[in-house]
Amino acid sequence: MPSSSIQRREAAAGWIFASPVILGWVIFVAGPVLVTLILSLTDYTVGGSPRLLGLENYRRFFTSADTSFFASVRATALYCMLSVPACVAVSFGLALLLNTRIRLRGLFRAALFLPVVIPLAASSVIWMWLFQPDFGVVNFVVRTLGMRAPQWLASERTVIPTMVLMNVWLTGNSMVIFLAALQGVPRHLYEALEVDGGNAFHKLVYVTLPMVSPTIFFTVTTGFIAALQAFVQPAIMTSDAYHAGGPNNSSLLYVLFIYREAFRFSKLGGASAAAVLLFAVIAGLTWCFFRFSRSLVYYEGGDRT
Amino acid sequence: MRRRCSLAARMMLLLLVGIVQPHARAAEGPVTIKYVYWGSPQEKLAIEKACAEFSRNAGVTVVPIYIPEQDYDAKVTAMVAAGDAPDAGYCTAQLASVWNGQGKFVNWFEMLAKDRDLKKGDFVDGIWFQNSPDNAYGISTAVEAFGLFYNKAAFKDAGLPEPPARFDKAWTWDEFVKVAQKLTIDRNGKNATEPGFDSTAIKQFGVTFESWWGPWSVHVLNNGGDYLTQDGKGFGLTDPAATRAMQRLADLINKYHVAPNPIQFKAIPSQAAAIQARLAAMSMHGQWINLDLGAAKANYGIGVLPKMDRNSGTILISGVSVIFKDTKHLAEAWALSKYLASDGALPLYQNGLWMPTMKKFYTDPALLAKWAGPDAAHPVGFKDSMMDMVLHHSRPSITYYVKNFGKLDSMVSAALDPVWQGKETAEQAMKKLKPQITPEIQGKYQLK
Amino acid sequence: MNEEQIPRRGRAAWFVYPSLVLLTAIFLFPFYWMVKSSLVDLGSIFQPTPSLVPRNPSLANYVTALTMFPFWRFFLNSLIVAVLTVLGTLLTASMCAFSFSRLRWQWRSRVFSVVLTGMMLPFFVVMIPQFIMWRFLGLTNGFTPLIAPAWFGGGVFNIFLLRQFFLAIPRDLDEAAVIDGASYARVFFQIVLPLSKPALIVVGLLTFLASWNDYLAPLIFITSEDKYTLMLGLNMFLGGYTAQWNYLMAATCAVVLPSVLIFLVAQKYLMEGIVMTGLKG
Repeated sequence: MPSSSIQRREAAAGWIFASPVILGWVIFVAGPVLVTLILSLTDYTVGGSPRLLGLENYRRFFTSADTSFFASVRATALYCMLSVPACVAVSFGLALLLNTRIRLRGLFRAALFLPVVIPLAASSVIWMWLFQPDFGVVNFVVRTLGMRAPQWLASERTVIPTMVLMNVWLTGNSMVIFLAALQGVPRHLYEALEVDGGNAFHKLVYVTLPMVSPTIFFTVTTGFIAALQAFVQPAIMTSDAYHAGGPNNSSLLYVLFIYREAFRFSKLGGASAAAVLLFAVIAGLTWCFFRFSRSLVYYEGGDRT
Repeated sequence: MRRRCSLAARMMLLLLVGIVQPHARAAEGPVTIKYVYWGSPQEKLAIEKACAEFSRNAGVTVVPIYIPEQDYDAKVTAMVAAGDAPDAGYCTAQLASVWNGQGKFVNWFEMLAKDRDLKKGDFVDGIWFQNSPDNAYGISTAVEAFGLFYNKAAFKDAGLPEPPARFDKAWTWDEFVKVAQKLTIDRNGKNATEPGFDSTAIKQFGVTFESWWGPWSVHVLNNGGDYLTQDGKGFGLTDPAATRAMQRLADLINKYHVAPNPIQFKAIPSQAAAIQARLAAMSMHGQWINLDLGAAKANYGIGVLPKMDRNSGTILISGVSVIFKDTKHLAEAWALSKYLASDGALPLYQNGLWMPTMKKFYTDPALLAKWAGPDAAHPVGFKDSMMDMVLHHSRPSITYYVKNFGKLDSMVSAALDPVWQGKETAEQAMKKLKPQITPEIQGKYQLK
Repeated sequence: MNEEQIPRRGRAAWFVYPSLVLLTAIFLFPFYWMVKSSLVDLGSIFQPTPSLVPRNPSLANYVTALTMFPFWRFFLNSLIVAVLTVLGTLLTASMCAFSFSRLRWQWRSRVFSVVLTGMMLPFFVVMIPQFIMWRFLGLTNGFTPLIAPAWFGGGVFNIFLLRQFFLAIPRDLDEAAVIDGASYARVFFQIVLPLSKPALIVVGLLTFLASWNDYLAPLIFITSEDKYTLMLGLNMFLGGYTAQWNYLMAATCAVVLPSVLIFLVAQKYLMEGIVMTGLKG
């Protein structure tokens, strides 16, 4: 392949500009991940000396009577499948609402973003209080409206949807990102559509969505990765010092499962194994997303990768 | 261009300052020991004060390191992993049992035998975390016991006599249930004994209790059951004495509707808050809530737990205070630990959070007057319902003698969830659990 | 005054206003509850029937909470960490995103995929090996472990985000500049960065918040109390058996205030800087 000097210059620049994260990856990710991989093959408990166990930790999760592994996987999968579409849809919808010509726009935008400013632990506590079935505000409103008061976090069936609801309150991050993306859609495209007789719906589907698709892709991908790693909410809202994971382990989300394995049971080997599995799943999912994206995502200014 | 350079230079300077400044090296000089602990703001203040006091008198620098309890395991694990272990401090039960198995802790009995001032007999019985009759890997941070806390106004409004504080006057379980029913009131004002009572819209519960191992195991033990079989090899919770106790508790929730499901009550900040706000009239809980109730000057009292088939009783329950064997300053760590188990802890006895581990605080009238009230945190029934019970009618809780407790407890707790929800009986749940849990049983520590 | 780019002429649809008002009320309600809870004692946070008005409100919780620990010291610590983190992130994340999106080099997509894996690990999985490393370097109990990752790419999330934005900018400008003999550094600093202001502001804001609210890393890496960050201080109120939620809420309100102020200020710049010049016809 011909390699002109411009191309070589560009390639060199490529490496130089990317060097911080490459170095960072080696120091902060690769090293620790390698250690984790090795630990997953041992029975390391801090302070003891690890014995090599081979794949025993993995086998234990999949086959033994310790069934909370599968409960955890189920709970996490359910949470992701509910949370990601809900959050992406809501944050996109909010961004659309805010991207219109109305007064007090800045005020609304600030109000809708503000929830992410509160430390997650504190907001988890507040929502836990609001959702308390007997004395909480949410059920007070529900009862006043004459409906039956659900158990929210206290019941197996409703605990995950409740956590999803709370998560939707926290879509300010994505909303702001969508807003920035919406602002970047060239106005002349809309005007062209209007000239052709298109209405708001057409504008949305033929201009907005395609132009914003890189951002949608980004939000869905990072949304999944974040949902798979949800920890603070299930820990605070449904666990305590003795019992992790809600009624009948129904909200034992995966990272909570890892945490419990590592720090309640002191089984760092097992926790590492669980972490390796999580890592593999996320890597697989991300790879799928990227492959899928080629056909769905429109990039105006760069090579699609 | 020039502006960009100076901006970059300023950034570099900031970066350097940010990195270099905080890395002050500890001065070489007097001995420094690290003490790890957790607790509420009052506890933090008291421990810091005690450590400062000790530092002044003993010429040692104590660095108290506060770690929120729920993160304790993660943090101390990281410290130990990196060779930066503390010298002494609190330890969570599950971590303690793992590390004890690795021989990480100093033997208190050994230290006491050599000590000139204190002897083992100076302490209340049953507060030692032991491996064997002559090895205590830790001491209870404090004496804590379970009792029946209640809101006086709730009883007055219902025209009911208050719960007895004396051991010999304890209610039977049926008496207790009846009282609880009368004190469970729905949003229409009906109590649980009246027709038309709506159990889905309760405004005040008769009684509440949490679902971790403490509140239910006290009843199991009172009823003559135990976690493990006598020989320590088998699962003891399938025995009728145990399942009857657990089922009675579950019936409070699902059959009589006088208690909330512990999961639905999790959001309530604490049992103390529940009593204070009359979300519940009674609470079967631990002595430490005297701190909050006292601080709020709540109108409350303490009674003894109702009895089941046998007598009322209570359990001693506490976190464990340990000394790490790897400490380089054993004498100093030992002196500090002794201090915090006696005079250094007086403020915490006074504000109601702790009860003393040393006998002299119960027997010496001058010392008693200093902490046991009656005052806001020690209502009139305290001497009977707490002190007397601790000294004469108590036994160590299961964390003191069951090996591999952390793992066992997580399995039992998970298995009990459907019981509290009324989906299974205690008997069914424990029988189902037995084959899965038996391989994890590792026996008992011999205490005597 | 720069006006925001608003793509629709004419009035907004009828449902926009009412929806926004309702949503705002719902979204802000928990804030109200937090403030209300900070003004009462622990036993009054729950009442048999919830009420909007706090019973016997007082500032006692604030007094206790803010004197419990050296609030200003912690504030300063958090600020130092956050500012240095944001600087590092803005610089290095945009550099890397630039490389992955606008420079062509042979291993680009493979390296990007590999680097992406950095997002996929919960922090406490890598926490202990990282702690051991920092201990080995003698840099624990300082801010370095907290700030260093920001200067090495600043988190793959940010690189990913910026990359998406950069990909949406047409290449004509770059190519023109390069043909004219500009170095890639100039293209980066003088062309791409200015065009990316909205994205950079977003990244800066999110990074600030993430650093400000970070709890786990300071917990592990900082041991002496005078270096605690604000979040670490907050968690001191969670005492295990006796969680003092009223103090926690008061302290949280005090802690959240700077975040809110910074956001409101940043919002102003967001509004003014969003026009993407040079691209719109």
